[in-house]
Amino acid sequence: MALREMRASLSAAEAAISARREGEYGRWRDWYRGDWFVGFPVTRDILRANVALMSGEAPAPGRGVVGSSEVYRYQERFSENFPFLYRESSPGR
Amino acid sequence: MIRIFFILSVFIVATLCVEASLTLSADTPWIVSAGEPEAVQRALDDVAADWYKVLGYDPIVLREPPENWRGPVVYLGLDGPWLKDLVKEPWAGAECFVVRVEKDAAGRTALVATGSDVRGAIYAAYALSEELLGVDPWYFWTDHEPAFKGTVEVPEELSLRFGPPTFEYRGWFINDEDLFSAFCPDPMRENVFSLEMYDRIFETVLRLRGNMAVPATFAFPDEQSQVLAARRGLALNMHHIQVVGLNTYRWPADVPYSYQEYPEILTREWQRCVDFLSQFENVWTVGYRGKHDRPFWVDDPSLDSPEKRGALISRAIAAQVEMIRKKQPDAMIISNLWMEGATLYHAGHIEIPTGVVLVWPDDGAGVPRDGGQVKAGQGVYYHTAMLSSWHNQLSEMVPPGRIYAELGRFVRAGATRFFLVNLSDVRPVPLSTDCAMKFVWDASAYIEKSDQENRDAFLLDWSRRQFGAAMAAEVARVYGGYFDLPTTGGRRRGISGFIPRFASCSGSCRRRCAPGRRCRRRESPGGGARWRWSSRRRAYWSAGAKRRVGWRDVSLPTGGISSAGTSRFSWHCTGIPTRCWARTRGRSWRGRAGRRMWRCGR
Repeated sequence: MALREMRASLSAAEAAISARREGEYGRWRDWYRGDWFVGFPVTRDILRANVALMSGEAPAPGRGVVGSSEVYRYQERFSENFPFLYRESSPGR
Repeated sequence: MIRIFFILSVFIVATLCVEASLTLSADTPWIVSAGEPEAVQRALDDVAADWYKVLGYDPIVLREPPENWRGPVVYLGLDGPWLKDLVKEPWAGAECFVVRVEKDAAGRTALVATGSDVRGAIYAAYALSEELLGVDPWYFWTDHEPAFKGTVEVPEELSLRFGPPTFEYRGWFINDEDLFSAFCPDPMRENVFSLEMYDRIFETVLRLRGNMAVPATFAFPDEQSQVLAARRGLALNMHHIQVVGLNTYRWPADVPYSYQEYPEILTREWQRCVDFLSQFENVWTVGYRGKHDRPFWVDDPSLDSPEKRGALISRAIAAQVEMIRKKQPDAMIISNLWMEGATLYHAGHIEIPTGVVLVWPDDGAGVPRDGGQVKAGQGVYYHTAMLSSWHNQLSEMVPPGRIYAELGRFVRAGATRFFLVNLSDVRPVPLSTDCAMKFVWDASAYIEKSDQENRDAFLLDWSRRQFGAAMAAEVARVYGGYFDLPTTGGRRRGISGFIPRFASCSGSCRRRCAPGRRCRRRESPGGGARWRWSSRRRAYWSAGAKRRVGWRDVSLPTGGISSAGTSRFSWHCTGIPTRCWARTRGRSWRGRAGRRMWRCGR
């Protein structure tokens, strides 16, 4: 019963992702690639892993949850310039 | 004879009709001064691109009309010496503008699009594009490129006058921009996403007559996205996390962060930010929060009472205001009471200095947390998109009816100094954002009508603009159904004031209730957001409630039970056995017909 529900959930998640692809047309192709915060792909991964575990199989590898630290991973040059991004912006320089 | 007279009459009338309009073609020259501010020139560059799309050629841009030219001309910009002759009447205030046809000094038919100041001139240029060329402000996001026309007829009696705006500052906050960060990353790895996309965003803000931007969740004061916003003519604002522009998300791990223990450190960093940002127009945000997006006592638990915490925040605000006033004495300063700030302020623990504009945040779903206390001279921080465990960031979530009701409350109270809307990745929420931006620009067109009337008219207009007149009514009906959908929703302990992400009440209580079930609706005398719903053992109270009852995670039965979408307690019911209560200012009403209450259920 639980496995059947889990499989149904996985199908529903994949259907939702598939429907969403219809919004990725023209200049907006790949628009949802960065969906880390709501996390449709991660949700699907979790469901896949659960289906595998409940079926007695090894869980499929997943993508992992992406947090804000990854989303805002750029701007590393700030580390020597804080609170600015560019050293030359610091008043008095 | 009669026949000849008739033919002549038709010819004369036809001639008059032709002469009564100005034909804009690709070759109609623009007259633009060489001294236009950069922000105006950038807007004119956008309109030149619109001109090319609609009329087929880039415009002919001249510094002054040729003496021997007697054909029509288009006067644009702010700086031209011709302005004083073409617009003699005084402007009604800042950011006013006109788009009209008249005769210039040489007797040429002239289309004039100019404004009272830099942003007025920018809005005038974009208004010409929208009103005459038919370019939708959202064309980039909704894929509605304007159609080629070749020529455009402009009535000679055209005289459009706009402004001043209802809200003084009207801006966008690009927040939790995960879609942008992968879709259009910055090749230089400096901004979260590309400056090209930022340019599109700022262009759209200006096309919608906004004047302010918070360009990113964790922007540095000197990040190029901020510089670009300023160069496009927008005021910079800082959200509630980054007071005076300090990026605390990136706070160095080896430096203490505590205004209580090490005030000199934070004072020094705040001052550096104020010194740098003072070169731009700012709406300064003051306050004191912890690193990232949390109360400061998460990192610094030494202050253990609301009184002490409020006192520290008040001291920090006072220090920041002093710094800002020394650099920009007349700049607008706001205090954005997000989350714990609102709670402490309601309890009387935070002191806001004179002249600082108090900004009420909403609950993340379009209902401000003022608890009915909003006053003249204040402002609002709003959401049309929201990222959290119980909000959907990827599609529209705030019904237009709620926008009219809640922002209308602020307009009626005179709280129109500041409006900032958080719209995450922009593209998922154009409908609700358009609704809000139109309202904050000119609320007079809506304020005397009912929220229901405004909602219906807006959905129809949006549907017509996006899907065409033939399908507009049907599409509007579908939108209405979408926003009325009751969905399940949850909430977390300790975060109050959340009206679930589902559905506005469309005033359709009776329609939605199953036959045989009672459903009553009355206006709340106080308005505001004090309300609760109850489903058997579960209860929910808003931020304005004095007590919390049944304070636990809410898990609605499948299909939902009831929702409150607009203020003044507009409820609708879905027929699930449920009782609904409403409460204002300490009085609560429940389940009796004829009382001030709603009873939905068996």
